[in-house]
Amino acid sequence: MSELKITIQNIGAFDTQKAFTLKKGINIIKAPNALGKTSLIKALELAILPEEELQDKGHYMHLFATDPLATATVSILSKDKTWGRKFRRSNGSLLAVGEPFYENGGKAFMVCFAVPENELINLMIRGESIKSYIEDISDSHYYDLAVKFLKDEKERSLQKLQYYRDRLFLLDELKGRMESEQKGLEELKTKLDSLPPIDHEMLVRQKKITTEYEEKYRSLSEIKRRLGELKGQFEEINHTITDLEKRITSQDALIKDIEKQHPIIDAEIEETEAKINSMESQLNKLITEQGYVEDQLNIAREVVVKRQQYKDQICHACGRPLDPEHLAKRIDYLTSRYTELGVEIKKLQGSIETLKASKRALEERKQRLMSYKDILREYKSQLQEQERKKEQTEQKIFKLEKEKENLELELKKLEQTIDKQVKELLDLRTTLEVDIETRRSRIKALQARIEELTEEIKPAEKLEKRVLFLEKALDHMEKRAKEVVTAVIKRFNERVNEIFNILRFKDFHKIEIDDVNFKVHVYRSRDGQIIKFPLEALSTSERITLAVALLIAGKHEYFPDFPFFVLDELVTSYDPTRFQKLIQYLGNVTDYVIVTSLAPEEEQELRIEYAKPSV
Amino acid sequence: MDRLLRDFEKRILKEIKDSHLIRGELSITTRERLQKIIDEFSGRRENE
Repeated sequence: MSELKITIQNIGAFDTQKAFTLKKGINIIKAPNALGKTSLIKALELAILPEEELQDKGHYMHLFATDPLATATVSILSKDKTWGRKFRRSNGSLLAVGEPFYENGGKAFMVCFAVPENELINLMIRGESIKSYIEDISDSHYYDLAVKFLKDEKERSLQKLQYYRDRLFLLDELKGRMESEQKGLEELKTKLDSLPPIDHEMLVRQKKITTEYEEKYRSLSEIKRRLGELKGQFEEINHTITDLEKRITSQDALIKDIEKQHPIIDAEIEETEAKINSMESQLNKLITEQGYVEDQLNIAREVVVKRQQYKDQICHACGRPLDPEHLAKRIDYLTSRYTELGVEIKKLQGSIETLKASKRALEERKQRLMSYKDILREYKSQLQEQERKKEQTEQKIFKLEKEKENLELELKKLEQTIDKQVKELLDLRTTLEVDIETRRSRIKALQARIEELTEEIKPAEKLEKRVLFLEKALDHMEKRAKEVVTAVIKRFNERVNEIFNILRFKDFHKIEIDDVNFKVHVYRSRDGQIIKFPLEALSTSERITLAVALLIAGKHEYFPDFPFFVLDELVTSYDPTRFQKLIQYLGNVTDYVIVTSLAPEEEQELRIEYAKPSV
Repeated sequence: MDRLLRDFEKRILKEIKDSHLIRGELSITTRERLQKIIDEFSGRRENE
């Protein structure tokens, strides 16, 4: 790689395509202001910076401001490599087509471009800590991100693990319970085994007898219960019967009483009826007669009135001569008869009413008698029903009593055949067997739960490993985060002192970046004593020289293969003598040292001077 | 273990460097990828 041809178009001062040749060694770009020195350096920056950094650093946009739609290009041609990259503005951002010329261009720019915007140079001029620069170079912020992430992960994993640990605790508890249950089961089994043996046949027989005894005992209890119930019913029936009998007697007495007073009540009623009829017939006759008498009396009174009125001597009714005396007698008789008849009628009417009342009373009694008889019949029917029930209940009681007697006899017999010792033994065995079964079922349930939990906490082992690994990884990464920074400082310190020694810069005894505050200090000899000076104590020129020396140290250490080192005239102008030496030094360790230099105004275009470094 | 941790460091750092940071923080997808790397390495034996 002896020569590089750089072609630039539409970048900064270069509207049209322009090609430059860089030669191995020192390339001094000379031109008056505004003829493209900075544009050429910017083109190199565009060539090496990754796309995201180009976008972050918005100032590259202004390079295309003259023609925003035009495409800018940078291409680098060497004997064995052709490289190119295009740029254009798109939606307010910079779009680069093509990979950068150098893979780690972002950092190479930080180290190999001693231009006015270089971060290290600026920090040093201001006398500030260079921590941020060292961190950028060392990738420590990536380590910091990794550490933060690992911490989060560890925390999360520990939280999960805690859950599993709780489950594990439960599992231990269950296992403990299981152990105790199994121990209990063994004890029960031993107890069962230690019971005296029972002859099999006897056992079977006893079991049969016991079962039969229990069954019969249950039946007897049932019979007793039924008997109690039936006896209760029987007593109830007896009460009802007694009550009905009482009622029948009383009802009978009532009937008899009425019948005694009226042995032939129907005849009595008929007779009264006949009397009433006869009296009414007589009454009708009297009423007819009274009507006739009244008519006659009216006629007689009319005759009297007419004779007095018309002076008649003859009766106009019968035509016979009128006898006033006779007429007077007749009127008296008729009046007296009318009154007698009235008295008789009233009397007869009273008698008839009395007879009618008597008849009604008789009829009422008859009615009552009939109803008493109906009730009596009903009572009697009920009595019959109760007696039938009584009989049935008696029969049932009798039957059950018989059954009870038989069962009691059978039970007595069975009791005699039951061996009490064997029965007790059997009871004990049964109890133990039931207990054993209960324990077994508890153990089974516990086993299932344990299996389930064991399955559930399976990931815990993996998680435990993860946490262990995370602890180690975190520890490692935290150490490494410090180490990379310390290593960068150490290397910078070594290299910068080496460069100063080679170049025989005698101003400083030693240059040092401290790894606590990340500040640059220098040690000077004063009257045979080594005195430490802070950066602020140095002149700007010394600070810039130191900064560029640190950059060269960085390139040496981290980017030995990066082909360029750029020095801007603004940087070199502070101490041209020293920078001459630095440039010469750089020429020996870098393929292409690019230095910008202001040319007199009369020169009309940019040119590159080439120089070989002195050995 | 040292070798394992060094390999892990390389893998993690590469993943972070290659990823796109969001406001200087790791994205969800990067975190997922890093988690997978952790799973992979924590499952490895020390002498692997």
